[in-house]
Amino acid sequence: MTYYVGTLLIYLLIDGVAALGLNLQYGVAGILSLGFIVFQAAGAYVAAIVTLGPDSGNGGFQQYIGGYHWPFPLPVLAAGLVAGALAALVGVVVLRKLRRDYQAMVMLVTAVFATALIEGVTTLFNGSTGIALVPGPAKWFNHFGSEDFIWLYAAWCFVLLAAAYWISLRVTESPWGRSLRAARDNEAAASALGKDVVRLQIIAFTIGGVLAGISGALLVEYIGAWAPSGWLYPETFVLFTAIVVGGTGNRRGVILGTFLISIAIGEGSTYLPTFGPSPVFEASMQWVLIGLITLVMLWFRPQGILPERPRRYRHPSSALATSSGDRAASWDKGVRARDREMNGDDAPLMMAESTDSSPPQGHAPSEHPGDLVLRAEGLSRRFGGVLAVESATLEAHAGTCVGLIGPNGAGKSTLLNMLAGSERSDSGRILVDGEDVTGLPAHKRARLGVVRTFQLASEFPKLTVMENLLVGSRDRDMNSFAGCFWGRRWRRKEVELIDRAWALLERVNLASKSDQLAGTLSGGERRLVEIARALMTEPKLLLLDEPTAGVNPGRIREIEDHLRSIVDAGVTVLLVEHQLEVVDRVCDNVYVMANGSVLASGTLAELRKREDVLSAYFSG
Amino acid sequence: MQIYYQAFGFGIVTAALLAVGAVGFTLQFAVSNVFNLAYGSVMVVAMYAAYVSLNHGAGLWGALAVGGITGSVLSYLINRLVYRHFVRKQANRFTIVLVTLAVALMMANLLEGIVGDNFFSYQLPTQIAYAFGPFRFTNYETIIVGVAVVAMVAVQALLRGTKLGSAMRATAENSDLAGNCGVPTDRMEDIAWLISGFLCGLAGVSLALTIGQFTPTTGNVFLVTIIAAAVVGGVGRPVGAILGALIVGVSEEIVAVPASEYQVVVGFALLILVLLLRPQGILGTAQVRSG
Repeated sequence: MTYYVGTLLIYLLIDGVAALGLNLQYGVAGILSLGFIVFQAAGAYVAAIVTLGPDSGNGGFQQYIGGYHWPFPLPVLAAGLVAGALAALVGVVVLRKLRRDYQAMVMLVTAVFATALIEGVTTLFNGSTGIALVPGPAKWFNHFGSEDFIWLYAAWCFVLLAAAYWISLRVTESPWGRSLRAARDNEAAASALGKDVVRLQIIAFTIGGVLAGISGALLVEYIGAWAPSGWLYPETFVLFTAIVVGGTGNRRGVILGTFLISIAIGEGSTYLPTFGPSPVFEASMQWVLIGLITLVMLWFRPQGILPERPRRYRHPSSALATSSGDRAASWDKGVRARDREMNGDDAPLMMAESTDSSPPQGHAPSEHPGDLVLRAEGLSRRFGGVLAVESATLEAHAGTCVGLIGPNGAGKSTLLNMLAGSERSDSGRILVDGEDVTGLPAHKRARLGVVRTFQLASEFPKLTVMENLLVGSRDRDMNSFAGCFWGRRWRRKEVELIDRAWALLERVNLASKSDQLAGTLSGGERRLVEIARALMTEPKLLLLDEPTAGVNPGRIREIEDHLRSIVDAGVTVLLVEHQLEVVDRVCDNVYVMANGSVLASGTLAELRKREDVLSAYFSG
Repeated sequence: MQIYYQAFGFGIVTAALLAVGAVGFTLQFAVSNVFNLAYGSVMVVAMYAAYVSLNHGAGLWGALAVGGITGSVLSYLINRLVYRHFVRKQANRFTIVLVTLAVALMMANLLEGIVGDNFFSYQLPTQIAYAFGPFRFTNYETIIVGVAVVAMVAVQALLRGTKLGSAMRATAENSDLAGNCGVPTDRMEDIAWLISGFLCGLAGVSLALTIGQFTPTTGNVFLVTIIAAAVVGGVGRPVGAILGALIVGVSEEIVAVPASEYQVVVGFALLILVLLLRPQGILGTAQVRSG
């Protein structure tokens, strides 16, 4: 009985390590890692072959590579490292280029083929028979009785589970992990804020692989044997079920799910009597049950028993006590909106930034208004037979708002995508502050201060409003992976950032919702979050794709005011917009596009007088 | 050299049944945007249905028909009863993939629970071999290739040459737009699943004929080879699936001559190669991650 309970406990602890690794890949990084079990298997095989002696031992009854007699705990370390390296390799191949459901597919295929390869090439790990007689750390604990060994081993597994939990905690809850979760929620939006999504995901995937490898090593050192039948691809599915049941993205939920699934189904049924039409009926029905549980959970409670919780941020006391009082007075929105029309300008949305004493990473708004911030020359883009954009040329001067208008299908959004770097250009070049950025991907342009928003609402729905803004930080320390384990480097800056984010939220009247998940906001509120988030990056050039789309008409005026104050604070804005009234009130210079090319430019009043513009607009 | 000709001949047979399977798989993806991982399980159920029908006196053609119809009905039901609801409820691709995997495991294990994990094989008259130039095919292999060619031509003719086919292609291209233009997209989807399910069943029975013996887990490895073929050719493109099947099928058999232990991973190697060089597949259009 001790043996049974001890073994159960050890399996639970080991499964917990694996599930935390998978949760890092799936729940936190958003990678559907259907081949996860391969990393566990890799860890197990590595631990086995470095623990064992050369394969000529024991009469040479099994064939394998390696055989080094490494002492405990080196095999566990080696397993983690090799599995991590394998995950990095798979990550580099799979995560770089493929759409996400393709990634899942390829990883599943990898898992199935990996089993076939190991079974086929028997010289690697003894084929389908597998490697047996792996001496566990028991060898070093021989003077303990076997029951004592079980508890000792369980304690060792517990230590590693605690370590895995700690790693997972630090990685997920750091600013780096926040960027990762943002990328999970909306990849394009994350790269538009300067996040190198692929890099983030590959690192997270690798850490998940390390945890998988360690779990494999723990298993093989306990069981003493490892064969392909133990790591068929459905085993990954059991871990997925555990995560889905417990709560995707919630560490405690993952542990709970592991407990429920591994124990209740995997082990609990050993007490059931054998029945059914075939000897494998029982084992088969376990799988059917696991599948059914997954379907039921995904249908009725996809977030799991313990859903991912919103991270709450304490509001910095300074902002509460001192500034919010005066702000409330001077930032009364209704008054401000009317004021602006009369006084020309006050209340810029960017004021907090310009008075901020230390914006070291930020791009201070250009000192000399009139400098050319953006110049695009002869940009073209072809989709199949359609020339979506044809040698478009446009310019934006510092501190101005440039409008881009035109009928549906004129190529405005494509052009904006090209400027932001999310769409490549077939020809032409793009200069930002005189620097050629044509070849740079979106996240690198964002780091140069070219930040965009999207036509469809692109908040990070499972992050709070506050977190959405914090993702906008471009501070180096806030974005480094090392920072996960080196909290001091970012904690102080985080306080400053929260302060800044809070000020922005107050001005867009969302401070009261800062702890709400952004996915629960209204259309207009999401827009404001998106704009505020873009401002958090301290952009030089802001590319806005229809910021009034999906906004309640009553609130459009509000957005308009914010846009104008952004421009007045010195940020250059390129505005793609359908509502000409908005363009009229906000923009200085306007470009008209039709059928992929830039037709004309000037003030809206000038453009209204031009025949060709009118005909393009009304007939096109 | 003779042995390579022989291998090439085998390759053609493998390619034929891979093509049937891959076209069905890719059709489901094209129309419903679902990577149906339960495809392999449906295939295995069809194999067993054909087995039962053979034991009840149906001939080879009868068994093929029973397999096809089983695949057809089962695929239709899975889509109607499970997938469609999840797709409608939320467009999250991950959820759908997990759902298809859940269905795959449930179905394969339900089957295994009933028939057990023993090997089965079809009881058929002995094979007769024919020589075609340097190649040799048995009568069953000839039938498999013939059925595959007819099925591929029929699917192409349907998709390219009929009104139904263009409605289906429109649904695959842009379901919302097709719906707005008056195409009954739900019915198109149903028909696509019936057809692709039939192909799935045919591929299953052909596979069982070729490999001789099978178990409820036979579908797994074959499904990933099908996926490899479909991705190599360009997912969502029936012609691409045929091309991918030819490349994967023939290379597998050729590689098997000098190094049979690596035969199973040929599909995988090709898959990775194509993903590195041309992620959208040989005939595919942009399915690459953006940004």
